[in-house]
Amino acid sequence: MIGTVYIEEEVLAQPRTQRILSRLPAATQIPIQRYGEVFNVRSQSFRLQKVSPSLILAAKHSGHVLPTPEGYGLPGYRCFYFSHMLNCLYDCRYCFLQGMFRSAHYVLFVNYDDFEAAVREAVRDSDRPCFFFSGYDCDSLAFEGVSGFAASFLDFFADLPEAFLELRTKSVAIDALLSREALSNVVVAYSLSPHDLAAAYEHKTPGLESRLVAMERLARAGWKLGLRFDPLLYHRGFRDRYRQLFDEVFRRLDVEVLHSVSLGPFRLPASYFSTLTKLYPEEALLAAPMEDVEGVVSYRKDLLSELTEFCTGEILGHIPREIFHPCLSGEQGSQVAS
Amino acid sequence: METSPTVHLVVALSCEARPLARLLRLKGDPAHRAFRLFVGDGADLVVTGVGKVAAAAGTAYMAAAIDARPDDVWINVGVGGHRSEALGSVWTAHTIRDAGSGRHWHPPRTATEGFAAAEVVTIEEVEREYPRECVYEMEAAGFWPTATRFTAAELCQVVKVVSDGPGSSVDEVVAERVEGLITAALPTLSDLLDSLRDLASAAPPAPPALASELLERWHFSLTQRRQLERLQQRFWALTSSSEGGEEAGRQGVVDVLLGPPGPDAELRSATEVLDYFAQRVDEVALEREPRTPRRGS
Repeated sequence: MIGTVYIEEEVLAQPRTQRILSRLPAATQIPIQRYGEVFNVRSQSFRLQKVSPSLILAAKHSGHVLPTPEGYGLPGYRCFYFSHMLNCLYDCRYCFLQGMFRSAHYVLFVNYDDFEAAVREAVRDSDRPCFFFSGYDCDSLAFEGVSGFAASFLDFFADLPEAFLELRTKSVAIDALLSREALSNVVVAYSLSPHDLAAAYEHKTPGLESRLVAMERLARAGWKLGLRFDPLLYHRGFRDRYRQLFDEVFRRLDVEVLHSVSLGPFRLPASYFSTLTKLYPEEALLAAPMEDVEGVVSYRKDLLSELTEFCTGEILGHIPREIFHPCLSGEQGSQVAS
Repeated sequence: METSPTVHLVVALSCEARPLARLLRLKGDPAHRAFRLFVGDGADLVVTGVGKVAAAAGTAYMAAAIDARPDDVWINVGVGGHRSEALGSVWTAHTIRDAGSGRHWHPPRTATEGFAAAEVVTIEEVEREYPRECVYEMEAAGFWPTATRFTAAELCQVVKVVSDGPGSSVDEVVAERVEGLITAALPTLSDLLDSLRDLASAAPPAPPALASELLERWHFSLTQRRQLERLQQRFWALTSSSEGGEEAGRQGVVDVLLGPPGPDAELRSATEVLDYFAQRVDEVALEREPRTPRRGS
């Protein structure tokens, strides 16, 4: 699976590094000083590297935990995000990581203790309950078999009941959760798309059915779930596909097990979108009618309204408004909130 | 790209070139005087002379001479010394270190994961002590930063065959021996070429160039040309003419704008063409259903 591991000399002797390397016995190990000397090189091709990415084991030195941008939090909480990993095992054609990073290699920051210290500090300094989103620059669970991230952070958050953790994922690697008692301050949030769209654009991911089965198992074990219908993709048959998806999801998951539901249309910073169209010029998804509004590329305004209003209406037919948190830009957001 | 990418081989010496030229059926091209070039079907080779400056110059000359494409494969093949590895063993570079400047690079291992890998250190004078566990040679640090200006780093590799070491003096590395070592390494080199060609096939396809018929019919400013290119790319992606290659994509656009019963008679300016084409592309996009791609990613 992973044929090459680059290792910052600083983390080589750490027990977590050694544990990870023991799980990849066949991989070629290459010592490096800092991960940027591999990850940030200009002439790399994200698309070619994605064929077989290498793993980089590194230490993160600053910015372990960051406040979420406006419009991306939850009401009543001070919200933060953090990324113990850069890049994802999956290969979703709409993913912003393709536009953000030059490299498709997986960077795993193994100094979990420093992330945990930053979480503790943020909680200590906050006047409100804190909510931490993981999996911003990666999938929180997909690499669990190698990283042991969830196992470590679940232990940590078990001792920090005043803070909340969201594990954002498309993965069915849920053993670390099922092997312990559910934590009331942890939400497992699944990104979901209609089956056809997942098959067309979410390469290497577990299918919709597998994700639903994993969610049912987590719900039975007492874990709180989040549903993230993001990105919504506009296409001719979107009404039928999304209605079918919502009906299926809410038929199989009792609203009682849901912590929150959100949606967001496909949107990317303009520079990332431009990079994506160069990486995948033949991709029809990126050829839809889009427009650039203040540096963010998304569907044309009329299409955007059609898509989000339809999906919002459908979702609110299944759940109470209190747990619905759409990620929409200004005008659209206020329309949904009203 | 419609045709397969070309493999460009960069070697220092003629005795390194000969076995590779035989393998790939390359013939000397007398048109070039600054460097010896060998050309063939889907591959070519330049003999640069010894040293990183010569390697850089030869690589750049080759790129300019043959109009290299951004999905071409570049490989520096040569011999080098190693303190402990067997003579004749073949190594891809996982790290290239320039002993003179201290700079270093890590060639991506996307296409070389099945091949033995070592650090390659580029030196300026012959190394007889072999102080570290690495391959000592004289070209890689000139080749690498030059070749990666012309192609993706993943398609650019350095391969060295061990020719000397503590038990086998560098003074014994004569032309016949080098030719024998490279000849013995050909099966490995051939596998590596296959792996790199496979990877190159995953490079982004080139969207169709603007059709000359359109540029002759209307005058587009530079900005309008860029808008037309983007519209043409979208149309190509949406109509699956991308599967038919560049020419099919170009023809598809010409058919929309000029073909019978084309609206060209009514379109009087580039602005009108762009507005009309944008509308048509949006219509196509809104009619399209998602499709599972033929390739995995």
